[in-house]
Formats: sequence, C-alpha cells, structure tokens
Amino acid sequence: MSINLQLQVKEAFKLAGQQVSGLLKTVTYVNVTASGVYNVTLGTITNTTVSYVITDAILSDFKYHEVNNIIKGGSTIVKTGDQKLLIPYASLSITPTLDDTVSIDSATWNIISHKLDPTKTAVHIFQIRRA
Amino acid sequence: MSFEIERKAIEGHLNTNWTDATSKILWDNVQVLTPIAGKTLDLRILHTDSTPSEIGASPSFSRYKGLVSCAASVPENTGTAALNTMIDAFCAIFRKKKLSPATGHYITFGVPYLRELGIVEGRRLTVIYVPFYRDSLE
Repeated sequence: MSINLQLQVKEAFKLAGQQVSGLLKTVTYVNVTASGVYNVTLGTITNTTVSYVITDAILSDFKYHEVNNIIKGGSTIVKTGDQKLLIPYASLSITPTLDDTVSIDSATWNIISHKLDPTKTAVHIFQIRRA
Repeated sequence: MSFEIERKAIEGHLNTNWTDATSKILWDNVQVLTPIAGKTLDLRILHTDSTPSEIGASPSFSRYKGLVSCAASVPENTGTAALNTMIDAFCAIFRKKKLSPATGHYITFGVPYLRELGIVEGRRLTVIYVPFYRDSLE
C-alpha cells in the first residue's frame, strides 16, 4: 500500500464533501494510549489519551438489513442507533482500539468494531454506539 | 455508614493490600483496556436483605448484609497454581477482618468460599465470595 493511495482516498473524501454539502463531519477521535491508576475515592480510572481532530469523516446510518445482524467482515451485532464512521487512513494514521472513543457534536460514542477497507490501509471503517 | 463509604472501604482495603503486580483488578463498572489477558480479579460488591436490629431498649440500628464477589481468572490451559495463589491471597485479605471506615462503624467479614465456573470464553474462572455485614445507627 502506497502513501499515494492513502492521499488519493483522502482527496476523494474532500471532493465528495465539496459535492455534497454537509457530508463531511468534524469529529474528535480519542485514542487511549495507557491505562491509568484506579482512584478508590472517586471510583474511576483516568486513562492517558491522545486526541485527533478529524475534519473529513463521513457518518452514516447502517442499512436496515444490517441492523440486528453482523456486517460483513465484522464480529459484533449492529444495534438500532449504531452509526458507521468512515475516516481516511491519512487523517488517522494509528491503530485504533476498542477502548477509544469518538466525540461528535459534543456527544461521546464508543467504538464497537473497527476494520479497514479491503486494501487494509486506505479507510478506517468504524461501528460506533452512543455512550 | 452509606453504601458509598462501604464501597470505598472495601475497594480501598483490597487496593492497599493486593500486592501481585502481575495481575489486574477489574473494578466494578470501570473501563478496562482490551484485550483482557493474564491474571484478573473481577470485583463486585453484592447486597442481600437488610434488617432492623436493636440491642435492649436502644440504640436501634440497621444491619446491612452483603457479599464481596470476586471472579478470579487465568488464561485457559495454564494450570490452576497461579489461580489458587491469587485466591489464597484474596481470601487472606478479607478472611474474618473488621474494617472501621468511620468512627463507631464497622464492616465485618466472614469466611470466604468458592464457586467453580470452569472455562468461560477461554479463561479459567473461580468466584470467591466473602460474606460481610455492617451496622448503621439510625
């Protein structure tokens, strides 16, 4: 996989966004990089995170026949309200984990599943669920 | 004594006395980073019926009973020595101990007992139960 293809995909997202108003969303991807220490008094753990602001994400509903089913290549059932989030790899050059979260319009979404496009390096495909 | 003080006391007692750095404690309803691997303790504080109690004419107090439930687990096919070592360490921390999280208030633990769950999703699980009660003056 070449860097060139990654940039071409990113450019394609950008062009699509120019063609369809409102298609591209700005999201904040929060990557958990290390586990924190448990605070007994508060009953919480504050993990170490790194945030990435993505300006060219695409958010869409799952198709009706995908709800209550496992999507192709996935391993988790899609529930009503789940969303599909596409992010060009060139905009998020990390290995996501299921501990990460996404902030969209001030709301937090959990990562339910993640896979890459068939070339394995051009587009992140997330199944996300409102926290 | 409130349920929150009780939680802090029990979790704090475990957190302070658990010394096995090779294992991970999964605290109730707290995010744990995936994948969950190695040796783990999954802690829950459960409650049973509570009753009013009196000693003579006064004072009147409420007795709250519960169970500290802890699912100890190790990866499948790794034997039971490490699991038993964890169980022994956990039991020693709570067996017949008495905590005093607030002046005049106590949490009293009984003798731990085990329930074997066998292999669950690739992990060998044993649940440890430690009965306890606490009294609150009201």
